[in-house]
Amino acid sequence: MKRESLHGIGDLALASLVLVAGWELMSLLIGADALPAPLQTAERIVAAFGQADFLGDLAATGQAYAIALALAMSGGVALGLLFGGWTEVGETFEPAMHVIVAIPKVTLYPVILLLFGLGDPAKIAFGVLHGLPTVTIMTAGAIRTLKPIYRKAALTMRLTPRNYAVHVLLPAVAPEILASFRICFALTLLGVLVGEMFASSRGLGHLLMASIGVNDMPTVMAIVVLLFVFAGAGSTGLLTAIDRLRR
Amino acid sequence: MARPVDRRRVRRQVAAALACVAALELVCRAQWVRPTTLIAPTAMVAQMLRALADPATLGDFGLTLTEVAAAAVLATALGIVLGLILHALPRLRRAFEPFIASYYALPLFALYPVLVVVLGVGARPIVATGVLYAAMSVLIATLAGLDRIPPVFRKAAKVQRFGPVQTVVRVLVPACAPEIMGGIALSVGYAFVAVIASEFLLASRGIGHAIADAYNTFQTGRMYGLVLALALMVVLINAGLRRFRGRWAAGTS
Repeated sequence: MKRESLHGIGDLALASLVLVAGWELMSLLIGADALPAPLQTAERIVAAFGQADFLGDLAATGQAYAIALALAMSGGVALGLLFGGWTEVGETFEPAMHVIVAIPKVTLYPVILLLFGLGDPAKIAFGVLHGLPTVTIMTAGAIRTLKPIYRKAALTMRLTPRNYAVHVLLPAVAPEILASFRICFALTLLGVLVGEMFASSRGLGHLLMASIGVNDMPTVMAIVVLLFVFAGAGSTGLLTAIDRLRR
Repeated sequence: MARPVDRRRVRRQVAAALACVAALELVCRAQWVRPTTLIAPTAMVAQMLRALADPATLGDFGLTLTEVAAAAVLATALGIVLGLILHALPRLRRAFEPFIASYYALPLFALYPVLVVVLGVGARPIVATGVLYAAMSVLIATLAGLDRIPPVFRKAAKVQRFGPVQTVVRVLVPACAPEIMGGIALSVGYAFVAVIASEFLLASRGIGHAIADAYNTFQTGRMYGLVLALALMVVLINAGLRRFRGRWAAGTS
């Protein structure tokens, strides 16, 4: 166990080193005005955490993201249980989910803005729109491939639909649900950020657009790096949880 | 031909879709929502036809499609090459797993200004953003395909005294073609998302920009028409790709 985690740290160091070296090289080639060097970006990140404005943007994004993620995960699982457990409903409405996954959702953002108005509800809804369909599709798919014996057992024990869902279906498909959460985690973040990038006045997405507007590249890179680290950490954490569950 | 169960399912899907559209039509026609917020489906179709009758809009569509195609082609080449390199270096590959896994959470079009400085204004930075998004799915698919190649293939290449390039071109890439095809089909979708998002948020060209422009100038009708046209186009292209993929997988396995 200890050896494994040491290996993990070594791997992480190696990958980071390769990425930072490549970045430094690119920065030298392109010029630090267009692509700030890693050190310059690190300084900007440290400075940002001392600024009230930045912390406010961070809090705004964090709050919207937390709500969107909770809604996407719970709603996705609930719909997935419904679609997977009730064949007729699933077959009828699941194609709609596939369509939502496939189309470029950015273009739907004006529609969301018109429906939800300017502000937090719109970007939360947009995050949910990104994250929810994948959870639903993967949960329903996992339920459909379950052995029929589970259903028979539930029928034999005369479980109510609620008990069937909570005590049989959920535990049986838990690894697939966690795997879908990993994708949902990333997609919902992207949704919330894109929501902030268009017609918004606060949050990291807005800061990103504002910084692009005034060509403040150190801030742009600082936000990109922070997001990358956050997304990587979350995704790795969930991966570990899935491994443990499968064992 | 189609089994009765399938036919019943299709009938149910069509009925559900029609019911949703009819409900939407009713809500709009009864003026329960303002026409500046949501327009009726029939009006959307009318607006779509009107927008498509305009040569400038068709030009925007053509531009976006060309950019997506260019991005998908470049991403395919880049993804296969990077996949082969990463597969040959297992240590590096393991180190990069978490980065690969969290790649799609990144708003990569934030790098658009950097790309503009490097590549100039116009189609090239947009195509580059598309490549950034699309290459990863080809890379992941290539890795998955290479993992599944039986060792005997490499041995056979050795017996034939193939050099590294010949091994790659004549043995490895054809052997994982089904997986790579799957990756390419996915990459087109990603290229679409990235190109449209860049156009929508940052560039001043293409269909993504046309939609953002319609929203900003309060042409709600035109906006819905364009969104509908784009959605229909993407759904059709995806259906075509899925069919192509299915046929390919069926033909080779």
